[in-house]
Amino acid sequence: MRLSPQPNERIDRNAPVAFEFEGGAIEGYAGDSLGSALYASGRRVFSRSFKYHRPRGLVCCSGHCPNCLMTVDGVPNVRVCVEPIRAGADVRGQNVLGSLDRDLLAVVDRVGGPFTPVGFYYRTMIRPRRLWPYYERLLRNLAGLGRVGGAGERRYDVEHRRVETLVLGGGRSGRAAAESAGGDVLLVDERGGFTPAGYELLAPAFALGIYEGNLVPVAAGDVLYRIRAERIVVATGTIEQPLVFPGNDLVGVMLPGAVRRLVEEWAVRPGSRAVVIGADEAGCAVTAQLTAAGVEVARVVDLRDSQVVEIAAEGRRGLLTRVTVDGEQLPCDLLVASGGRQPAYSLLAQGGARIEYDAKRGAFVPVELPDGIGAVGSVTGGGVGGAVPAASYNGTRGKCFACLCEDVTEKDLKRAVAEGFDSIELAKRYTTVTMGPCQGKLCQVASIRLLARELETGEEAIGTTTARPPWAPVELGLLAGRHHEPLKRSALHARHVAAGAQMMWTGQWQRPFSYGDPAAEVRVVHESLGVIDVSTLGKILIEGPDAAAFLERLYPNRFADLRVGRVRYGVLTSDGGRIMDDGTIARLDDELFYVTTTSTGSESVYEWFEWWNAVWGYRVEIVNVTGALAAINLAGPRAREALEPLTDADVSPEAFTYLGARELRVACVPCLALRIGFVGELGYELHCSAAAAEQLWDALVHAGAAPFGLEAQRVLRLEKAHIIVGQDTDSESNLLSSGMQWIVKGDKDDFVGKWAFEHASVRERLVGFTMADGVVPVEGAQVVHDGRPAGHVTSARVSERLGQVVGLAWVQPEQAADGAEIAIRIAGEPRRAVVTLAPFYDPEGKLLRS
Amino acid sequence: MSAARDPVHLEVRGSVDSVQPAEGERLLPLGPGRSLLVGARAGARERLAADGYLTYDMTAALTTLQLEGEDLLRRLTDLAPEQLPAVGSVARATQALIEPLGDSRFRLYVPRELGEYIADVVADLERGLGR
Repeated sequence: MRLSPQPNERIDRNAPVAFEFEGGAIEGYAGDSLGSALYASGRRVFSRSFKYHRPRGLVCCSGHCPNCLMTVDGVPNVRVCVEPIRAGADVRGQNVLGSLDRDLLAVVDRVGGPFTPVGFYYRTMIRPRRLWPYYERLLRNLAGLGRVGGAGERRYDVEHRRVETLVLGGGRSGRAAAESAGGDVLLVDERGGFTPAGYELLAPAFALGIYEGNLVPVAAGDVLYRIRAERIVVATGTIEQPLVFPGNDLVGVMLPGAVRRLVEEWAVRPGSRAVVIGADEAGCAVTAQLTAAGVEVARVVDLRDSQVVEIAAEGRRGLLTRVTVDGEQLPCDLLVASGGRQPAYSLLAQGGARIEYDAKRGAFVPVELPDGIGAVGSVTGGGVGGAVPAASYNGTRGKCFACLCEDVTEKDLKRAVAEGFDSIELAKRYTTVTMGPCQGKLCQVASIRLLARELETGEEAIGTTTARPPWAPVELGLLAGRHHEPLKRSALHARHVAAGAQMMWTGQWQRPFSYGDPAAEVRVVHESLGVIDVSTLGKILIEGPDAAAFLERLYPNRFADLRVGRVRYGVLTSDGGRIMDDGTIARLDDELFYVTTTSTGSESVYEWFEWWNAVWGYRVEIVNVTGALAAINLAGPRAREALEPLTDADVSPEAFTYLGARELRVACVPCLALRIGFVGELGYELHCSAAAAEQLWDALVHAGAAPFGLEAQRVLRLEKAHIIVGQDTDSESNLLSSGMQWIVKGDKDDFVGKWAFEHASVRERLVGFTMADGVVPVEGAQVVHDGRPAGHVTSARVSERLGQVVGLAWVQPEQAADGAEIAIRIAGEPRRAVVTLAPFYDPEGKLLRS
Repeated sequence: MSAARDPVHLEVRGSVDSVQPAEGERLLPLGPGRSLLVGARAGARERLAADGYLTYDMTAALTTLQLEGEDLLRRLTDLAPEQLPAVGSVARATQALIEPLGDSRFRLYVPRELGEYIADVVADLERGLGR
């Protein structure tokens, strides 16, 4: 099948390359594509169609159509017509039951037609509903493309580029534009094979789209380039369009470009006897190449000269054997059929160009290009023209395909119009025409013409579908890029790991879940001395003459009267009164406040503060010092006793009272010490430079403090009924429903969320509960009332200290009373629980204040 | 709260365009009215405070990484070398300050808590470049 050497052939006949196809050895040459080597070896059927499993062969040899999709080295949907040959490649057919030549699923084509009209899955197989999962599996197995998961792990990278001029397309016009542009020029081409002159070439590479700001993602092998260009020049040329006639999908029906490439570049004879039907000069000029290649040309039909009514192709086992043109029967194995060329305008349309139909040329052309985007060459519509082909040609037998990717026929589109899907966008969604791998490259114009004919209007009235990325097929892995999961480590991370802590994710942080025995950790905090790393808390400084006024307006409670050296709890609410975050606010100076937030809230609270200050214009500086500072909570009845020898400061209960804030040196480390206690025992929260955190931690541990993790902390805080924002509250929770109305100073002029608080309704209330039978409900367990859902559990744990199961739950307002009985569904059974509004442990806070 | 030693990185707030770094110090932009004074000399805080600037010690807040190669930088961020120094996104939306050092060398200032993560990402991207 190889021709004698051709003047411009790309193959190197001295460099044979062997690969496997369906387990058998195939040999080609360097410079071949996998597809050209297979064709040269005699293979004609390259794929089976999406829906009907009809045999399909090479059509475009340009990487546009779906007909050569194969699985290569486990990677599905590789267009082998443009995939360079490589030694040892394992090439297989896909979407078949049996083999490419004998696919048992082709039964769908023979007998399934009446049962599978366009949109059949909207009307059939929908009852009984419980069987849908089985229908769905069946349909997925019968239809579709290749299967993912067969390839080994592949690496994908993303690279950012900035250039002055980006040229998309390396044809004559594109290369000329790149050469004359000057400055920093990058040319992206799907094939390459030429030497750049004064510019950089990226090939083979595919532009996927044009986004705002002249951002162009380009797929080049395993690297996705995100290119920003000051100026984009689109030189994507034209795309040959197939004709619509019965049997137009038979193996052996090709576009002229495919024939040219087979002959000129790969020196392969495309057939033995051919019929040529063309609508323009390029379509008919292929005759000379066929003749030179030794192909007998049975007839040339130039649509510019003849009013053809009938074109029909017939075949045996899917392979073309005969073409009928206006009654003349022409035996052949190759039909070169072209409906002319259409500008490949999609990237321009994505960039903002307007696309109009030029009735004289029968082509959609770009007009009104946006700033920063230019077009050169035939993509502008220049040089495009010829006969405007019919929407479809009559024939006696066979399916007449408008879309090869999705197996959409002329009949399907007629039916869509008859059912009311009479715009191109609706017809597209109903029939899936233009939604397949070619993304409309070969079927958009055909479907527009068919719709125009059915609606008795012009193509200009139908218009085009919206051009969207990706313009070229792209692997999802390439879009995803490298899998990097941000991981935040506290300054004490190494200490926790060294201590054998079991780490867990909380947001982006890795924190100790426990150091082995959470229950023992709870005991040690209650009875002796524990220490926990709370560096993950957000930490924000508010400094300036208006700092107090700023906080006063942000929070529902009062801060103007907070004395220097004192701490106050604060809850942030949104404009709608929903709880956003909570933490403590310490006044360090008249004009300096230190705000802590939840671990996951530091960035959002910081942005919230910045946003409001941009609105209000207070004279404050807002500084996020979360990473700069570590924080350690020393807690337990021995906390003061342990702290005293480590500091020169007086930390007696009289000198350092509850809710005090003082600067101390602890183990020679300068600290801000806050006398607060999330875990319910006497405690000191020590904030210090992250650089000194290990020194401080070591000193505290050496002083007898036992590290405890998040699980112990959760038990301890639950005993105190301290909420965790996001765990016990959700995006609907407000201060009233959470039982925190005490924090609101309603006499303030204004604060964020004031109006919403004043108009808040209470649909549920957050309350504490104890289980009557000691069973622990899961978080999220349903609270039921009269057999109906009436709330849910947010937290629940066994408290050894209290000898009870304690928890927090949302309940109906009428159930939010001390001693009220509620039912919680556990394993399908309602279990009795009792509401408790006060903290379970040390309800008067004597231990905290001690 | 004060540092046990002189800070190395100071965040400066105010009309930062008129800040005069001392010899060996470099002033890198963080945003409007905000800059990072890198390599702050002893007494820098007092000097800047005397000129009316607010300063915050960010020494412990930042991890500093140095990398070589514009190709590696291009895989890490969409900031172009000619735009630097600047703050931008690296490795999935982590904000970083990137300083050019010349000869295709760059210094990254990233949040301390993400320092190891960014180092891992940079090492991984280097592998992608075949290094």
